[in-house]
Amino acid sequence: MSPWVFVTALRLKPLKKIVCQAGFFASLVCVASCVGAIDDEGHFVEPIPGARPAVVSARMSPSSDNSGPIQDADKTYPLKVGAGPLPLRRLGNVEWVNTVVDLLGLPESQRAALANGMPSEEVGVTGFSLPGLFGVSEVMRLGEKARQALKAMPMAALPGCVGTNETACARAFLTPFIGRAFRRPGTPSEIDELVALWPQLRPAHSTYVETLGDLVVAVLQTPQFLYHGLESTTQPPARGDVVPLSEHQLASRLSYFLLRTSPDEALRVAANEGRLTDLVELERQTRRMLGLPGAKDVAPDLYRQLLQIDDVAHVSKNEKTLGIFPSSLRDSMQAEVTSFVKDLWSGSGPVAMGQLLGASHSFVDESLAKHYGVSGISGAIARKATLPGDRAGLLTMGAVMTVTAGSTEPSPIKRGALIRQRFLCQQLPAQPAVVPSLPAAITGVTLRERLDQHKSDPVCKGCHELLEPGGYAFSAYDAVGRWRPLEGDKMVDSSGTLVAVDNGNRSYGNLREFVSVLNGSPELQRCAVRQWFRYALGRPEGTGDEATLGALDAGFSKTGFDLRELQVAIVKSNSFTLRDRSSVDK
Amino acid sequence: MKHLPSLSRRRVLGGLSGLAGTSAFLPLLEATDARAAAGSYPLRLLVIVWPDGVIGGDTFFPPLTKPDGALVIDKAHPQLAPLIPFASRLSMFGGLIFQTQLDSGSSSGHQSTPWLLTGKKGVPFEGTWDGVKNTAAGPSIDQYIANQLRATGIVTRFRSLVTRVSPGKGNGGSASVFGPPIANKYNAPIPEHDTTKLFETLFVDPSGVGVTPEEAARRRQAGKSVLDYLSRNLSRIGRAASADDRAKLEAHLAAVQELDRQLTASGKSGCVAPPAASVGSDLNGKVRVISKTLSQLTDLTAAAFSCDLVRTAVIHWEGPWDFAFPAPGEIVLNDGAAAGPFINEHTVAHEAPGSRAAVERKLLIDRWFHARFAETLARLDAVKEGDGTLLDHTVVLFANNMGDGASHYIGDVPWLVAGGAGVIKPGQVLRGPRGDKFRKLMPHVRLLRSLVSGFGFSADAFSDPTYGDDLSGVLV
Repeated sequence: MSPWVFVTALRLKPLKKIVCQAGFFASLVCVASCVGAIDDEGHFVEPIPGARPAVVSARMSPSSDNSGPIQDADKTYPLKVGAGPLPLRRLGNVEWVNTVVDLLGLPESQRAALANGMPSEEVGVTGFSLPGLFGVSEVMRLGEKARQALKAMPMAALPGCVGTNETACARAFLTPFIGRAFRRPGTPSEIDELVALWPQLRPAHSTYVETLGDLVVAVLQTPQFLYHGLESTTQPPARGDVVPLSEHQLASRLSYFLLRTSPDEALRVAANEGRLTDLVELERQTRRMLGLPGAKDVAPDLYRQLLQIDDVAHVSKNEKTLGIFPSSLRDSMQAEVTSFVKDLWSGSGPVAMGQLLGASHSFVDESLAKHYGVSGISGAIARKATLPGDRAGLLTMGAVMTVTAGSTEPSPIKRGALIRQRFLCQQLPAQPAVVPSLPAAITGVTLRERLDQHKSDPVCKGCHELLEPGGYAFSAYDAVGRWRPLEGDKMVDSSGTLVAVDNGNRSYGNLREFVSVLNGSPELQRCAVRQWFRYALGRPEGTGDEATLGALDAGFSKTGFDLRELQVAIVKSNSFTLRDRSSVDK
Repeated sequence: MKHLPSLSRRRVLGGLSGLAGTSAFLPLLEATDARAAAGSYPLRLLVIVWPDGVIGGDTFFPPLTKPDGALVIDKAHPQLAPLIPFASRLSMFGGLIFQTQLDSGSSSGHQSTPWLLTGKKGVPFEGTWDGVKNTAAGPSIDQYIANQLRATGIVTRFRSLVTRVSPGKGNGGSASVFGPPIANKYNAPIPEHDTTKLFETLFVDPSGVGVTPEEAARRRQAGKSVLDYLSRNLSRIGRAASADDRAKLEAHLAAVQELDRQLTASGKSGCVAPPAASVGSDLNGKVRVISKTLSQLTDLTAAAFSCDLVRTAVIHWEGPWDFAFPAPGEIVLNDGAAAGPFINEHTVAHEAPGSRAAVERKLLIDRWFHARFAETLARLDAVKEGDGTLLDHTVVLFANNMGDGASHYIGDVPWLVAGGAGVIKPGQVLRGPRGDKFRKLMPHVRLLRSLVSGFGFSADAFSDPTYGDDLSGVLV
C-alpha cells in the first residue's frame, strides 16, 4: 500500500484496525501497545514516553497535574531514547494575542488591534522568532496590552458578585480563570496570593467588576501566564535519562504547536483526566485540532518567519529604477504567502512539499495581479490564479524575491543563501571582515557576468561558489519579484550547478529543473523535518533528538512528504513528549 | 544658520489640560528632591546615534584649533559648517574602531549596536541577529552611568531614556536599532518613537487622569501592590528554576522592580514641562518628516533632564526605514506609504565612492545630520540653568554607527563630543592614522571610558582592560 493510500485509510478506518500495518504510521500507532519499536527499515521509532495503555491513564486522578507515578512495569528505555531540554520561553507575540483573545473571549477584530504595537521579536538560532528577555519596556508594553484587552472584554465575561462577600466571589472567578491562564490548575497558594490582593485593589475602584478587571490584568502579567515551561508544579518521575512531560505540559506544547494558543476545553479535560500520555489519545487530539480553523494559520506563520516575509514591509527599493513600490503592494505580497500556504492546508488531504515549492498558481489581488502581469483580477480580495512566466510556489513569490534582492538589482547571492540556509539547512562560512564590493554596473554586462568577475577573487571564491548557484535559478525575477526574462537585451541565464547538495553536484537548465532538483533532494526533505521540529519545540535540535529525527525523516519519506502527517509524527515523537533529565535536575 | 526659537515651555501646573486633567501631573513633579534643588545642576549624558558613516579623511577634520580651544571650522566645510556656533564647545575624535565588535566576530556597521556604547567583547546568546551570534556583555554607557548613580543613592524616576526617530516594525534586516534580544537586559529598553506616548510617559501619571488626588493615590497604591505581587511571584519561581531559567526570571524581576521605582520616585519640585501641543505626529500628508520628530525628541529629553526625571539618554537617529531625500534640505522616511521617488540615504552611503555626484549627495546628507546636531545643541543651550545652560551641564556624544559608509566598515569612525562645560575639554581633535585604515586605530571603548570618568565614576567595571585605559585629553 502506498503511503498516500495509507493516509487516506488512516482516516477511514477505526484506529484499532490499522495499528499493525507496516509502514511509518503503523509503527507510530503500534508503539502505543509496545514500548519502543524498530520500524521496517531498521529505524528506531517512538519509544513511548510514559506510554501506557489507556487503562493506566484512566486510573489517574482527574485533578492530578503530572499524572502521578507511572505504574506500568516498564522501567527502562532503549539506549537510543533521548530528548532535549524544556527551557523557559516567553510566549511569542502571536501566541500572546491568540491566548488573550481566547481567554477573555474577545471579538476577532481584537487580534489585529492587540497585535499592533507588541514588543519587537528577534530571530532565534532556529530561524524563528525569539521573544527576548523581559525588560522594562516589555513589561510595560504587555501590561498596557493587558489593559487594552480588558477594555475590549465583553461585559458578561466578568460576572458580578451576588451577596456581600466579594472576596469569595473573586476566588470563585479566579480558580477556573487561572486554570486556563496558567494552562494548568492553580495551586491553592497561587490562588490565595491573588485573592489576597483584593483588599488593596478594591479601594481604587468603585465597583466589584472593575476590581476584578484589575485582577485579570495582574494574572496576565504573571510569569505563569507569560512563559512556556511553567505548566507543571511537579514533575513525573524520570525514566532513565528522560522525563515524560506532564499532562498539562504536553497539552500546552501541543496546543501552541498546532493552534498557537492555549489548550481548548477538550484538551484541558483530556489533560485533567490524565489521558494525553496515551499516544492513541494524543494522536486523536492532534487530528481533532488539525481540523480546527486555527490550525490553518500555523504553516503560514512558519513560512512567514522562515522566509522573513515581514521584511517586505520595509525593505528599501530604488524607486527611480524599479518604480513606486507602495505599502499596499507590500501588503499584498505578504497576504499572498499567507493565502497560498493556508490554501494548501485547507483540505483534509495530504499537504505535499512539492506543491509548496513548485505550484504555478497563487492568490493575488488586483495590485499584485498587475505586478505579475495577470489579467482579469480586480479588487482587494485575493483570488486563485495561474501566474505567467515560470513560477515555483513559495520560492518565486514577490515577497521572497523582494527580500532576497538588493535595492536595485536581484541578488543571486541572497537567493542562493536562502536556499542553502532555509531549505537545505546548511551553514555558510563566516563572512570575511572586509568584503570587496561587486564591480559596478556597466551597460551590456549582466549581473551574472559581474558576479563571475567577483568570484574570480580568491577571497570571494569559497563562499560564492556555494551561494550563487542556488540563486541563478531565479535570475528571471527582478528585485521586486517581477518576471524579467531579459537583462538589457540579453536573455537571462537561469541555469547552474547546485554544488554540495546530497553529497554531490546537481546541474539544472532552468528554474523548473532547479525545483525538481530541490524537491527530489533528501537534504531538502531532512531540512523540512528539522524546520518543523524547531518550530514545534521552539528550540534547535540536539544530540538527544537524533532518534526522533531519524524516525521523522523515514516517516516523512513514506508519506510522500506530507507536511500535515509530519506535524502528527512530531507530536508523537520522543522529543515532543519527553524532556531530558539533566534539564530537570539542574 | 537658521535662528532657533528658545525652548517654549510653561509651568506644568499651568495647563496641559488639552491632554489630561491638571491633577494628572501633580504626583510626578511635586515632591522636593534635595539633589536637584535650585542652584544645583547635575551632569547629564545625551548620546545621539546616527547612521552610515561620513565622507571622511582629511576633508572631514578641521585642521586647526585656536589658542582659546575653539575648533577652526571653515564656513565652506561641506559637512561641519552648521556647527560653527559651537566650535568652542566641541571636540572631535577620529580614527576610532569598534575593536570589541571585531573581537566578537562581526565587522559590519549594521551590526554595531551591541558594541557601539558598551565596553566589552560580546558573549554568545541563544539567538542570532543579522547573522551574528554574539551580543553585548555589559551595560551601555548610559545604563552604566545610571547604575552608578543608583549605587550612590541618586534614584531618578527613569533609569535612562532611549528613543528613536523612526517608527516601523522589526529592524529591517539590520540590527542597527534594536540590537539582539539580550539588549533588553544590557543595552536599552525598546526605544520609544511615539512622541505623544513619550510625553505621557514622562509627564502624565496614568493614575491621576480624570480623578481626584486622593483617588489617584489609591490607584497608585493598587498598582504598587500588583507590582509587589509580581515581584514575590517571580522571586519564588526563580528560586526553584534552573540556572538558565533563573537568569531570565531575574531580568524580568529587575524590570518589574524598575517599574515599581518609577511609580514611587518623583522629579524635581516646581519643574516645568513642554506643552502637550508641542508633540505629535511627524506626518506631513503621507510623508514622515524626520526633523520634526528629532526636534520633539530633543525637547522632551531636555525637559526630562531639566526636571531631573532622568540623567542619561540615547536618541537613535536611525531606524528600520531608510531615510530619504525627497527634496534638497529635508529628509523623510521612505516607509512605502509616501510616493517617491526617493534618494535613499543608505543607498547613497554605499554608492558614494562611485562618482563625484554620489559623493556630493553623501556630503549633503552628512551636512544635514550635522545641522540637526547643531540644532540639538542649540535647543539644550536655550534651557537656562543658573548661570549656565542645560548644554553646559550635559555631555553630548554624537556617535556614528560605522566609519566608512561605502563598505560599512567599523574602523576610522569619527565621533564628536560637545557640552559638559568644566568636564569635557573642548577643541580636541584626535586623528586616525592615515594610510593604515584598519590597523593601529583607537578602540572607541577608551573614549567611552573617559566619559564615564567625567561623571566621577570608575570605568573599570564598564570595559575590558584589554582595550586600554581612559583616553588622555578628553577631560578638563
